[in-house]
Amino acid sequence: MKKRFAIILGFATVLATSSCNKDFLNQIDPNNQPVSEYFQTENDVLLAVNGIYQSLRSSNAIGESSGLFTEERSDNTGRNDSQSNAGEPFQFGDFSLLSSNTYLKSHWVDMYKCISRANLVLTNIDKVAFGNENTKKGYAAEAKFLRALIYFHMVRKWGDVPLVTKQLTTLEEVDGATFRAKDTAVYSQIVNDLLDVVNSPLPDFQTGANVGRVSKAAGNGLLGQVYLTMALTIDNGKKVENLTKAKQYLDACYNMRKFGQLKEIPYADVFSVEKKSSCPELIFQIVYKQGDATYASSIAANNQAKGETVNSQKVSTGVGGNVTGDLVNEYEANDLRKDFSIKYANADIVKDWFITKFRDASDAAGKNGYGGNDFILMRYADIILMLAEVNMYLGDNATAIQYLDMVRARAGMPDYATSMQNTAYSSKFSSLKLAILHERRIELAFENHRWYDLLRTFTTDELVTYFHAKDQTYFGIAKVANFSRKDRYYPIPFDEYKLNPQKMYQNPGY
Amino acid sequence: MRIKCNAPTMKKQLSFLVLFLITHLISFANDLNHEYITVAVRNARISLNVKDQPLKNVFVLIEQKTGLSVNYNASSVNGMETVNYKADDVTLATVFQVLLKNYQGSVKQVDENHIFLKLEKRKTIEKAVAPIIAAAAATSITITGTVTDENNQPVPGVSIHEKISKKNTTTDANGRYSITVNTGDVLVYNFIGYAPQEVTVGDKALMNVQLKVQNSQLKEIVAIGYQSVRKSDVTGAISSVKASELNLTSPSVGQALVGKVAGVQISQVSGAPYASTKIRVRGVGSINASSDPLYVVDGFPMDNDVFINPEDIESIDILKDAASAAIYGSRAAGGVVLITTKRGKEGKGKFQYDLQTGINQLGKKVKLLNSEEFAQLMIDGRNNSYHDFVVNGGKEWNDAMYSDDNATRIAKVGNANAVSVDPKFYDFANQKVIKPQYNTDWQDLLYRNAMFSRHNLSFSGGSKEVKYYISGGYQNQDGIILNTGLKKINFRANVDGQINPKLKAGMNVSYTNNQNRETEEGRWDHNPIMAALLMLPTYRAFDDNGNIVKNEVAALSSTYGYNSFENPLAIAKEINIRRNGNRATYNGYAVYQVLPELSLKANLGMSSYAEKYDYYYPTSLSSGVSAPYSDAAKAAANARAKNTNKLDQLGEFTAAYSKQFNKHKLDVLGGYTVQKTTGDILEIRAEGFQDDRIQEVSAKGADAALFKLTTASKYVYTLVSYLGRINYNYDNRYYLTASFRTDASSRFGPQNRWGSFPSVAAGWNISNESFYHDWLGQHSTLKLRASWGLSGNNNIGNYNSATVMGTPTGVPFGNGTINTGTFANGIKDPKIGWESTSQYNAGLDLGLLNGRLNVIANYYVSYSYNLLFDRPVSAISGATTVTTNLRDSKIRNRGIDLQIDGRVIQSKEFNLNLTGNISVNRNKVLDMGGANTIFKAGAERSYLTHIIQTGQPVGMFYGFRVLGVATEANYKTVAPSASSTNPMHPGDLYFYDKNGDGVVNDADKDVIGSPYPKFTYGFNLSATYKDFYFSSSFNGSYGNQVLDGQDYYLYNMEGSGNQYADVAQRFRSNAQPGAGSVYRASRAGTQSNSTRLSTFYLQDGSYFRCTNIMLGYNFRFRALQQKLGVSKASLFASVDNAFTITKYKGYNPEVDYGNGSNIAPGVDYGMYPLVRAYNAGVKLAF
Repeated sequence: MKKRFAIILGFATVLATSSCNKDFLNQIDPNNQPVSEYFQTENDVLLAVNGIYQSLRSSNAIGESSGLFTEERSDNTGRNDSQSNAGEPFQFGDFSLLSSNTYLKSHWVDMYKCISRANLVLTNIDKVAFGNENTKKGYAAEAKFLRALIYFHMVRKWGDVPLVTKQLTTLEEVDGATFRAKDTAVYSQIVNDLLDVVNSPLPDFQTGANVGRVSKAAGNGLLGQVYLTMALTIDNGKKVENLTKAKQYLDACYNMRKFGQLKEIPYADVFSVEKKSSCPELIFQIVYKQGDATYASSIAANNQAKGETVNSQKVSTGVGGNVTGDLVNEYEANDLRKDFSIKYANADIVKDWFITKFRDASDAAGKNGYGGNDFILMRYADIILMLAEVNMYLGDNATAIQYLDMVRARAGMPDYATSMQNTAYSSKFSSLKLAILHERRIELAFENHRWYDLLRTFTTDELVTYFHAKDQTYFGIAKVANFSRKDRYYPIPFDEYKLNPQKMYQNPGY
Repeated sequence: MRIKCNAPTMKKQLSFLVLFLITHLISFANDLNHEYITVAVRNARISLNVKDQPLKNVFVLIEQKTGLSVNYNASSVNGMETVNYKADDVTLATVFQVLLKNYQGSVKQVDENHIFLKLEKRKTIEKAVAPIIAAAAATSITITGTVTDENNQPVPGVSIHEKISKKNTTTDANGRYSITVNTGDVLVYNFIGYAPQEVTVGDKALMNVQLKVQNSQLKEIVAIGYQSVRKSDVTGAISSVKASELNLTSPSVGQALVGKVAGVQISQVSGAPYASTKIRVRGVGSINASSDPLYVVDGFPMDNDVFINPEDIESIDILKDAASAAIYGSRAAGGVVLITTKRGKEGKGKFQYDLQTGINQLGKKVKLLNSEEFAQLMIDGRNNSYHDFVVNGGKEWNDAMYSDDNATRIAKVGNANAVSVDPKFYDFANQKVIKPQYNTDWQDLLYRNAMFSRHNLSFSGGSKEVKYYISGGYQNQDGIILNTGLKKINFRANVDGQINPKLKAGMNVSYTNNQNRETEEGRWDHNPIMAALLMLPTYRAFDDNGNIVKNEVAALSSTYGYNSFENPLAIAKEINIRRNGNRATYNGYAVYQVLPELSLKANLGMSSYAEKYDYYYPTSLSSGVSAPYSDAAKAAANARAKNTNKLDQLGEFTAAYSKQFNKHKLDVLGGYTVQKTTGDILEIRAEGFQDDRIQEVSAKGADAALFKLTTASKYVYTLVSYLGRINYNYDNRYYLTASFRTDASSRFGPQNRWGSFPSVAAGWNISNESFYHDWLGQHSTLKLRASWGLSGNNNIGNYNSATVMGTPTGVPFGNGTINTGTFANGIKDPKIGWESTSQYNAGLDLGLLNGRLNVIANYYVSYSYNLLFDRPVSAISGATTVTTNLRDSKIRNRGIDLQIDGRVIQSKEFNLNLTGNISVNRNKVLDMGGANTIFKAGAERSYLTHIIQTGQPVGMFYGFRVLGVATEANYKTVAPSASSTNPMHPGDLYFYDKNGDGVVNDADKDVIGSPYPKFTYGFNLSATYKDFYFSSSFNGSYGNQVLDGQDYYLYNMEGSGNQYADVAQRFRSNAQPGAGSVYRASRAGTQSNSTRLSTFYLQDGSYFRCTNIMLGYNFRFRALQQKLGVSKASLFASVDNAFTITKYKGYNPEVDYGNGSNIAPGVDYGMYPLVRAYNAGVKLAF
């Protein structure tokens, strides 16, 4: 009997001792660090800032292949293959966009990825002790710039959007923040962030190994553009104030430039892969690595039509980056930018215009088309034309024309006054406003500015009229007549709208 | 006073009350002078000495000595009659014979505790004389004899013991035995699968016994998790399948079970030799967590069943209701499949060899357009597109333009891909098709008659001390698709040892090696199955030298708007995918019998799995338009290598207590288990291949960037559990089971780590009640069951409770220096916990016609809540979903499962059994817990196919409802589709405008179909005639739909790839409207194009399938036995998946592209077709 008890006792002991197994049950992910423990050193912050930059690169955010959401939405590019990818990309240029469009959803999602990464840095940066406070302020400024940049894109595309400025850690916080904030609130957040950038210890320009990072010039340029946009699209009775501030910051940006006259920089140099790190016109760009299977640019190869070699050594089999007849028709005669930017492909299966603005046919890029083109988000021609614009709106046409002519001069085009003598020009661009809009279209084609320029320049009704006046034959099968008031904004992606139909209300017309 | 004197009104009921006898009874007619009474009572021996006692007092004495209750009708038996009687160690039967010698009728023990006297006075007796009889003392005798089966074949290994002294022996190879016992002793003959038999020893030394096959389902043993019980004692809903009922010619366990089990849907989703079946027990109760059942092999909980050798299986028990499954707690919500493997039995070693060989072939060929029909479609598609482009672009059109050459067309619309026609097939001037040179049937070329062979050896036997079962199997199965197949090696050793009367120990060791050659499923660019459906029949497969022709269609794809198809034969042959797995399971146990009632068991197990997956995509295939070996093709070539290592460790300690006192029977189980699973996965990808000579990652290009780490992931998850169960029954009439388990899993957040899973169940054996009275016929049984239980689901992967940083990524700055960037992955919910399913079950077990017809019926309702769910959240979180529990959510499943087994004909030479089952399940989301409707893209690209919303089953098809094909008369008036790429034309589909706003858009989408059957069913017919045996199995499903995702290509009327044959009946013009359901040809998109899911893409998925037919013959040549030592030889031939009757146009209506996903079920998309297998085999036993 004793023996039996001993066995029972032993058995019970096994049960009892093995029950205290908290450590056994606490299994922590061996592959990834908990976010709550991540921010410890300065380097951790730097890497997290890099992580924000990484999210810009996506073709669903604002990376080099994101033209679908801007250029294709405008009158610059399009596609005649309505079938590819379930017909969804086609909806953007056909103005038949559905809220359930998955490209639209991906765009929204990837934009908020950038924002949430910036929020992560800004929420946690205070946990880390920095040797030099300026380093910390610099990192914070980079994060704020990137957050402001994305919000600026979003508020123009969707109007009111959820405004989140801190790291969300729980479902309750996420749910609590899932509501559309008024566009004015979004703009004031953008402005506040950018004010911090222009007052930060960041350098005027990033050079060398830091090209691709945010600089003070970029902060000023963007803040100027934000004020300009607010002046023209936000009806808050502060138009002149905003225009004045736009001028202030655009001037500040312009005055930081490291060149004299724009014409000193040949147009082709702006897009040259060799000069991308040194070209003084460039203010902010996404960097790509030539020859690298993962980090190379494919914009040159992807735009190339069959039978062509101008962009890339990569053999192209399709139509490439399709340019609308409307844009082709907008080029003035002898504009050197035309031959640099577009080309007519006359292959057996393609007889159409394609984009040649981004080229890397070097051996280094090779037959796989691993180009080194950086994707330029901000450059001085843009700043200069905005200066023309802001001065025009402030009533100073003379200064405006001076700026406009700087860009025309580089392109080898006669100045504005001379051009206006030419009826072909003056009939088409009857006002200085339209002339500036035209110049921006030509100068900045395929750099994802056009759609925003249209939204800024025209009211919704004017925009409808503007599109309806266009010749359908220049747009292939995409119907410009579909353009209506609703197309001023994108619809809120269906899934996001469904999360809370009241607080995530849909834009009108969708 | 325990004698029950029943009122006369109860007499009839009582006298007819016959219950099936569970304990061992003997039955014989008296052979002396007491031939008027038959006595059938327990073989107890008692001593009595009574003088002038009333009979009823004698009965009381008997009751006290035996614990039996003696019941009789006082009006027939005179209890006041006095008797004198002396007996010394005499059998109870003898006692009754003597005491009741003046009566005629029967004395019968009806169950373990009751004896009924059904007697009346013998009329010839005038007066009862009470003699004093001394029963003779027992004498020793040596009994010999032969035990045979119903076919008079000797049965070796039968265990024989004397009931009281436990003296025992077994039969030898010839079924002979010898044992020395006393007269009056009772010998019990036991052999598995046969009813135990008892014979009382008389004065004859020769006792030949014939065993009867055990035939009542209710007497079987059923595994219930950690224990086994008699089937008659089951209180839950458990389906049991014995090895003999499986489709044993099937190559896998899952397939062998198809159609066998009520309430369990087993789907043959793939015909790939390396793929397993999909098993769903009573519907799906989850959204994102897996609804796969838990597999427990010989007590070891495992992930899947695919590896086990079907020949090793003794039985499979499926715990369907939550009350039964709750003993497995947190992992049981999908049901539990308990697999018990064969073990050695006492007796001479038995060696068995099975050989099976056969041919597998494509079960069904899909009907497609022939080359001339295809060419016409292609021409129509291009011409219509050309027309639409010109008109939509605002230009002039006339029908003579159908003769425009390609250059003219391209100049008009900018590019070629939708308007150019290959002049090989189109006579432009006459606008006529030119008959193509080739009419290639790609399916015929891709699919082959594939060889199958399986060898299985087993050796089993044992002594009283050690029993063993050892088996080895080798299976070589070629896939029906070129370059696919499976080689599998199985080994198993199960050993049990009785170390001393108190200690028993044993082990199970098994090992499986599988070598797969696989093919990719999914899209046509890497999947030969889909490519063979779509590849143009107008092109050849081989050149004149018999070499595979490549890049013919792909090269022309952008010129003529084809999809860039590569030759499917090249895809099958040149993409090289191998998977090599090694799985070993080691399990050891020891049981110590502390007291007769109490045993302790420790079970320690370990299972390891190591897999190497190698993938190679060659330079020799077209890359889009680009030719094999071109720069683009070289850039596309890649190799992947993936190592997976897994180790599962289990410790299980249980104590079992079992006690019977009077009519109470109590079984108590308590235990503690702990399980730890570790995994380690490493996957790399290499590019830069210059040729295909070395198809391994090692042959990569030199640049470091061409070598990538795809996955590096380790995980550990642990589970600690306490479990307990009480089984109680009173008098075999009332049953009560209660169980409780509590689990803690590392997968959940610390706040919600522990989950409790209680269950209760009750059973009522009505037929054991005194009033039952053979109400449903002689020897009929009736039992009612009811249960409630709670089970859990933790199938959501690891580490979902702590938000972590993502894998760092690169960001170039400067001139291309790659910097490291970090970011947080989407947020995790620290409160995440169990998903629970609460299920009520009510059941009925019925045995009719002397046990020849058995019915098991169950009704259940289950509610799943705290659903584990990838809850959609706003992208502001940095992600789109968060895995969490939906606190107030609820999914209901309710249904009926019914199983009927009937032995229709039972005779000496001919037996016919018919079994059938039907399952009805209704699933509904009652509450989404405040979460949103969920949409899912379950097929090609990103178009939405499924919806989960309140009031509907999980994962319904979602889209537009087709109203018809527009005609000249109505095409301008029907609601057009929003964002159409091409305006409405006659011949386009038009859809239901639900909100009547004149346009069909997202707001008009609706639930348009269901992937869930109204019911599923299966039935089996088996028969034996003399030495022939036959079996056949059928199963089917009714009322479900299949979303044919292949239609995106296979039914798009573009002419960019081949189409279903009925596309020949498409709309061409008002004069030629075709069949009225197929829309017009166009390469430029139509209102109806495949990018919007509609009822057009749903098909009836009902089917009826013959899963197995087998015919066998048992040889009985004496020569075989004597000269070769073969004790049993049989030969069989079979067909698996002999035929399927369905309207579904694709290969297999049971397809599941979603791979078990609950959100997107019922989708077909280039999946491996089902196989019809012809097999023949031999079984030899020595």
